[in-house]
Amino acid sequence: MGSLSRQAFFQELGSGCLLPTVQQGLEQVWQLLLICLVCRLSWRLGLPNFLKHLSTVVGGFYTLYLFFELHMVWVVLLSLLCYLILFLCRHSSSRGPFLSITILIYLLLGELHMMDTTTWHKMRGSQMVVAMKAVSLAFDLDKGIVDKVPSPVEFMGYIYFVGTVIFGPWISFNSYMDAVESRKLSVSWFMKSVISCVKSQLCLLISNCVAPYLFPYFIPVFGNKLLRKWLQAYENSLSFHFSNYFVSFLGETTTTLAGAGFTEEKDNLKWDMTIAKPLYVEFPRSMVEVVTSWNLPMSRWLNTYVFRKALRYGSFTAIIMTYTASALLHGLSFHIGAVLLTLGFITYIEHVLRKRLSAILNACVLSKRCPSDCKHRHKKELWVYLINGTFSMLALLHLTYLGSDFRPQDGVASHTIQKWTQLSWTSHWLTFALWVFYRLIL
Amino acid sequence: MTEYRNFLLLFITSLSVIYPCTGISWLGLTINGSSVGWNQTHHCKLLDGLVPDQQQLCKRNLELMHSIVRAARLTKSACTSSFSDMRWNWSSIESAPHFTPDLAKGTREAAFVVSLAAAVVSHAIARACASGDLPSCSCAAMPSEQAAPDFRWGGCGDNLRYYGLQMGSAFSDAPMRNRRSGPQDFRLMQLHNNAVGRQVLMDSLEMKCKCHGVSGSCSVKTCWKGLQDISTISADLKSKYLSATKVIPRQIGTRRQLVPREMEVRPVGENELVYLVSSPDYCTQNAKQGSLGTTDRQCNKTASGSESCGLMCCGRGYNAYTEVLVERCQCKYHWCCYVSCKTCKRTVERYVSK
Repeated sequence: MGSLSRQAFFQELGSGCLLPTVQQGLEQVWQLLLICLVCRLSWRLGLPNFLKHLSTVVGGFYTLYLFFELHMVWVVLLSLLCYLILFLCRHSSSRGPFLSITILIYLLLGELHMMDTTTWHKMRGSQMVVAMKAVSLAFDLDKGIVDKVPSPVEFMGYIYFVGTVIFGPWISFNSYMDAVESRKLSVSWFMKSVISCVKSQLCLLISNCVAPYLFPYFIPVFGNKLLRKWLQAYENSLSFHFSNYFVSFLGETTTTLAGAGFTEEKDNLKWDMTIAKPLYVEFPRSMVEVVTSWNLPMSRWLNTYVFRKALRYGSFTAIIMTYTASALLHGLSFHIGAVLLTLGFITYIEHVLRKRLSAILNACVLSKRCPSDCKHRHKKELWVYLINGTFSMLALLHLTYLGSDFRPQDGVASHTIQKWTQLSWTSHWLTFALWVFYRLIL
Repeated sequence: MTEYRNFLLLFITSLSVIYPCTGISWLGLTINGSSVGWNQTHHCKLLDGLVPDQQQLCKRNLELMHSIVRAARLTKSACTSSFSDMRWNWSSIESAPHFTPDLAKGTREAAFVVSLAAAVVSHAIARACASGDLPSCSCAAMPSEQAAPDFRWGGCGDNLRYYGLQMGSAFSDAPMRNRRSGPQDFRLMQLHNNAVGRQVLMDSLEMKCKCHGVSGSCSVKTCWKGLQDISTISADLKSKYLSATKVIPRQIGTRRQLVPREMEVRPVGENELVYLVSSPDYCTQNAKQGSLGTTDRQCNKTASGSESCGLMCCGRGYNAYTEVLVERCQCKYHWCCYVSCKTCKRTVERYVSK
């Protein structure tokens, strides 16, 4: 009497997990998808812009209610607060920093005082998207990228854009205004929506039904006690990854369906919104690549509105501030904060080490892939591949370590510490060793 | 008062001898139950293990019997693996439907086996239902009680609640609703332990839920039935066995109830296994107590728990011998999809109690 036989397991998996997961995955989002589509179609009716903004506000409110019920008032409050600040500071040139601080205070108060953890946790994603939109708008106003404070209906349309209000991603105000112009319906637009939707459901299935049972049912690797700990950590990590991809592809679906997420070059329109690049995360070149591939719009946002503005204080400080900002956007979770801060150190040390190695060895071993016309002497030698391969394996190990304990609902600090202790603080020690090595070759 | 208790205990013992326990007699179905096709009603009378009520149930639900035979087999194997490190020799379960005193009386061991059997039979019926083997049941309707506002029902996973438990309960409780099965106290004990077993089964089949949302928030939650082994249930019941409560009968109002023997201020918990008769230490062979003794039982020299040689051998010491194991090693996975292994020999030292 041991575990289920392989055949019995797969039978059980089909009826007990695959079917319920698909059913629930679609059941919870079909209304959102429908509203996105209706909004898109109505924008094609030649309505005046005022009504277009209004229709997406209505759609956005309705979807917020669908997902969060009356708790949506907190999202509404946040957006009203943001507009108030923008309006009151309309003659100022420091709207960006001021609005950022205001939002930070609001989120901290919400986290600490306003309501129970479960409810706040549920809405955190939407709060984060609203915060990012408002901050980006404020900074763009400061720089003149957006030439005047938008009207209330424009602002609310942007904030509550039905394509991004629940699952993101962040899009810039100008992208939103482009979307309002309403491009023609086309086969490529429809295919993009459908394909992203299918991908999201696939990722949901992998997250729920494949990753947790990867070893030994799908891949017959058993291993001893130590290896089993790492295999289990990898399973947890993979499950978390694919949960993220599910949300990312779902965000692509809703955004495209609602009419945003395209690029235009000389009358050549492409529906090419990309939020996450799973292959770059699961088969990483470096942790830097992982970090940017995890959520491209968020990477862009952090780079534009945090990293570059903090660069005047030095690159290390800028990186740490970027990860701190990311952690704060994710809410006051010790676990997420610890993971992101650790990630910050890992990426920084890897980046500077590889940069140094690249200079010393005159080889293509940087964190990011070299363009084909780079001036390094060594590009395709075996030892170059070996070095890059080693860093890839390291990245895989870091990912397993950092993702080994993602149960977002319990933010207990001791649990994170306990999990990392079980894995002997491997990533921390390795990162420290690499830093020592880096100092030695300076 | 002590005399009254002694008299009552003697009375119960006498009755148990006169009317052998039949609460889990159906475990005897493993002997020849699998050779019967279970497609004619007269098959229900061919076997020793069923009491009249169970025979009636059998005739009305012939398609259930394959599941019940399988449950009997599973119960025995789960019992075997759970108690391999204990002094009590589980082999007496093989003598079903006729039991030796360690299971025929209201002992702690009987409490464990009874509750495990109740859990496993419900589990087996539920799984047969879910896999479509039972035409008499179908997917459960949406439950009226919602686990949470955002909980969404998903599929046939909950057949256990409505069909498995109901039919399992009807089957395993049937003998105890018959006065001839033994004194009322004994029957109350069995019914209670059956309920505990089913509750453990219910608890182990909780839905697993997972959150999905931007950066791990909980905008979407999906739930599915977790895959469960009988060994999980068995392990849970074993820990309840280790903390089981000895009870005595007591008249409370117009009803007879079982209350803890020691602290008489509290009622018996719904999740507690209960027993009436204390068990022997099972160290030496004693047919009257159903104790086979621990002589020649394997023990673990390096362990410190119940399987350790010190405890298993009851201080009598142990003998060592060597055994050559032939096992698979250097297994390799070939894409796609098979594993090939070499054969290795390994010598291990074994210890058995004197």
